[in-house]
Amino acid sequence: MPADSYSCLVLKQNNNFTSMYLKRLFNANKWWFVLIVLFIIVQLVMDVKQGISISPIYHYGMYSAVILPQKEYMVTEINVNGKKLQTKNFTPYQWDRITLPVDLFNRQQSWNTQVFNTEIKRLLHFTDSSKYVDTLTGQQFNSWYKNYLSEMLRIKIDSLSINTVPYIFDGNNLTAQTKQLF
Amino acid sequence: MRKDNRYTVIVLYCIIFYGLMLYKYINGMFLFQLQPSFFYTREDMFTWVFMQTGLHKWLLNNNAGCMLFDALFYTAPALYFLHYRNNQRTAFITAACMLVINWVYVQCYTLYPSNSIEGHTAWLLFPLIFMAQKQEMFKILLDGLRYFFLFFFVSAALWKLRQGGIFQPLQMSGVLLYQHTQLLTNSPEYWQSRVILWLVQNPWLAYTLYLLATLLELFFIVGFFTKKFDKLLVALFLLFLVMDYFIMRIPYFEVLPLLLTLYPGAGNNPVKDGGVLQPSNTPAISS
Repeated sequence: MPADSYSCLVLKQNNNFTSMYLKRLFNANKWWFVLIVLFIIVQLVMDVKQGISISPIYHYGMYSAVILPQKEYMVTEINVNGKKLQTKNFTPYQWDRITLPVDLFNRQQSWNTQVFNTEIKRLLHFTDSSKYVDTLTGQQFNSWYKNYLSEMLRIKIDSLSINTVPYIFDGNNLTAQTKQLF
Repeated sequence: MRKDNRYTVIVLYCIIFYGLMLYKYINGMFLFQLQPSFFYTREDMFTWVFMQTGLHKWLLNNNAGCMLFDALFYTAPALYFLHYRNNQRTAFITAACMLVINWVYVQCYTLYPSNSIEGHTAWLLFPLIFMAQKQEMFKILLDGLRYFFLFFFVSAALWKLRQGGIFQPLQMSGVLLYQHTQLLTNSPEYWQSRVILWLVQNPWLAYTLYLLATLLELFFIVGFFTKKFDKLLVALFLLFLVMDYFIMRIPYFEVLPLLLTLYPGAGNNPVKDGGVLQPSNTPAISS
């Protein structure tokens, strides 16, 4: 091949690096081609519409929404046998194991009901909510959580309290908000 | 048997998978260790259809069921590896089983208080690639997954532009406070708390980190045009994971298998690294 023609071809190939992939795929297997093109289209449509996901197509925002410092933060504190659990004593996974059940349980009933009534029922016409809405009561959760935490921490739990404490951020530090008596 | 690139990818996949298995077991992240007692419905149409099976409810307070699911999920890659080593032609059957197991497991697992489904995408997609019967198809699909991996990062950067996080000088301070309120309030003397608070108190420094992370994500766009920078992308990806762990306390390691898509020569095509065409009578080079 003459050097000039080869250079042109190289340049063309560089520009078509990605589109060439679809050609290879099309030539290799038409079914996979259709599936992957469909995947690309749905991913792009979902990114534009920012709506409901369809596994395995998701949004990968990674803290892209605006999150500014707030004046007040509500912090969940878990006290076991009179001692506050401290994040520093646990790995991120372990800490998630401790706090996520508490955070999610508080929201799950209203959230699940809302998703079922406003989205699932409307889009898929499913009428039985029992598969989407949980029935665990607060009392059952407390009992489960105490056992769960006891097993995880490998200690006998005599007392367990979970509090939501407001903290004020003054631009430099977070300080617990004290209740004024007068 | 011939140990080709596909074999190496499978071995590396298993090493990552079982390394993560160990890490998750130590941290109590197996399904039977989580002992799920309730679920949290996410906004995912596939999940809604899947939930019709009732499997997610069957696993609630069902320790034996959870153990069975763990056993299936954690043995599948080893079985696939053994099957592939002994019979490449029929290994797609085990890959298909692994696909079903992974999808069912991940769908259930992420409905409970564990972590997000987005981080588990690699487990959902890799079995599809292993199902390819021909070597050439495997390479093409792995290349496709490489594009997905690049998109994963690039879209995160584009979302920051679209949603406006990148235009807020106080963004990273807000993110750090949002992410670490518990650490900052219950362990204020801890070294990590001090570093985080220091960043919060110096918003421009914190913002610089956010900006660098966005640029890092955006840099993955080069992968759409050339494979020349794949080694750099591997280094950036690992840096991203390490920083995510230390600054954000987010163990995002479940996406590690996607690293294999940047494995040199794993998905090589007629276009050599750098996008340079090989003369037609020269075999494609796998570096």
